[in-house]
Amino acid sequence: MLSIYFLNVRHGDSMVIEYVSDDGNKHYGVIDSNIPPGSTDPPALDILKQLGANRISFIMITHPDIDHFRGIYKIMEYFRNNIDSFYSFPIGRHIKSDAKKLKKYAEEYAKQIKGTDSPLIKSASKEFIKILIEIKDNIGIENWYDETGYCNDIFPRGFNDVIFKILLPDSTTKSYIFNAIQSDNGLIDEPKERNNEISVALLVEYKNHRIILGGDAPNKKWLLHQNYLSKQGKKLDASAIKLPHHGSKEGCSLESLQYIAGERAERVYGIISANGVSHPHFDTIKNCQETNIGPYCTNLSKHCRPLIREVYPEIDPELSRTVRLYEEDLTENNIAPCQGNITLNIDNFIGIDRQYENLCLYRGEFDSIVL
Amino acid sequence: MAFFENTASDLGTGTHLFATDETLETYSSGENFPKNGFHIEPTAIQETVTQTNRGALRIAFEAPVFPDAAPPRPSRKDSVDGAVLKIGDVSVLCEVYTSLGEKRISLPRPLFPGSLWKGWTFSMRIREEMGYRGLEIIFREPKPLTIEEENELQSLMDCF
Repeated sequence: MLSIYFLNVRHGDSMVIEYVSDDGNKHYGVIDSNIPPGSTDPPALDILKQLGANRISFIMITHPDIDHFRGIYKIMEYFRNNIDSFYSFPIGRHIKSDAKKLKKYAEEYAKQIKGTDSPLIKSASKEFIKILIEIKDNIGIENWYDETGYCNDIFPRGFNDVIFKILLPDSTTKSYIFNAIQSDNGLIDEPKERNNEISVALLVEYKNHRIILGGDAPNKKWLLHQNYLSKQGKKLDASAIKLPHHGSKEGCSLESLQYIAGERAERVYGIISANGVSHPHFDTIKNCQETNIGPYCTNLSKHCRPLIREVYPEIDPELSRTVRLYEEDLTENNIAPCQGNITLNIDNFIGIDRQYENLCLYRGEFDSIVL
Repeated sequence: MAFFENTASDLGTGTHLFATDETLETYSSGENFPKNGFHIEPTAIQETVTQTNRGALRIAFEAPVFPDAAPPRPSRKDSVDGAVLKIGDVSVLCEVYTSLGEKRISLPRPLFPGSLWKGWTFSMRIREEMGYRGLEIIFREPKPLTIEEENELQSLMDCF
């Protein structure tokens, strides 16, 4: 049995994978983390405690954006000496294996601390330095993997019957961080989009179900991947997708989603981990409809509220929590959970559990409650 | 006066606008500015402030800043009829916006050698002066670290 927990961290990604092998042993992985406003601990740590984890097979940071690594240090600290491996975006072997270069990489984050008044950036940059120290001193540089490639197998300990493949980034991004920190301006002057270009996208395959965890990989990288895989005569054909880049149009064009979802007869589960206000883009929701992806958003999209009133003006506002959600104006400071935390359970069949089972217009579920 | 404050990189990573001026509670992000008839769309800022270190800031207007007529293009120093940038003691006028939709404000390359926009604090407000309305954007250089912060950072770096 494989379960993937997609945690509601507002804007950002946070996933925990639990694998129960046939002999009943449990193995855990963490992919990205964020800490929502008002919380001190990462939700990923909370759920690992709830699940009774005492060892982590792997932690992965898909790319070095704040909304993907906040809280990772606390997880590393809690499970110190009980983490088998660390996976990351490409960082370049010259940095990992050279103490001076690793220090230079950390200095880039020290520069960020000195170059801002933002408490968030200061604390996140400090956390990133601590993560590097934790890898170096406790997990071990030899257990740090930063693979690239279009279909590159990785083997986290204990996940024996689960196939993990790095789909992105491609190898052309391998030297980005290395080159940047060697340059005069350093990493801080790099366009931020570069971080998405080096984002890991992962295929998790278990019992013939394919789940794509899209990271923040941009459209152009998915198209490159399509070119590669089509030459092999293969397709992705996902059963479920963590949509790239929180449902941004930069990562969820129609072409990208068509490629990732393939042409399955069954509807594909599409998890959108976003605050609902800045993301997802409305085009993404429409692209989901075009590609037979059923969207499951952690937070209610601001695009849904006016539309639902337009489509169903006579809906009884007291009918359900869902409808009341649509009565509220959504802003960055007033975010409403839609599905909340989402769990994919994968065995012979694939199923989805949600913290809030709110209905969705774009999954065609409102028809049943219209008066 | 309605007033936004944020840091470029905060926005770029998708975090929230935060207020330092108490009046911001009234005009929180994404809400209309009734007196001025336009709306600063935080999403658009969020997507684009990451580009500040490349010299651009993009803001979405849902209504014209100047609904009646296109104002004259401002000269560099003697008008506030448009967007004004203040960088330290230096003011730079931006393009003037009169139409709906997303607009791109071209920021000058950093005026101070070696400085970058990313990480700078900026605030925006509507400014009225001499009968003209404009959007004022003020950048502030980061404050130096305190001794405690310096010491903590040094102790981390000593681990390498």
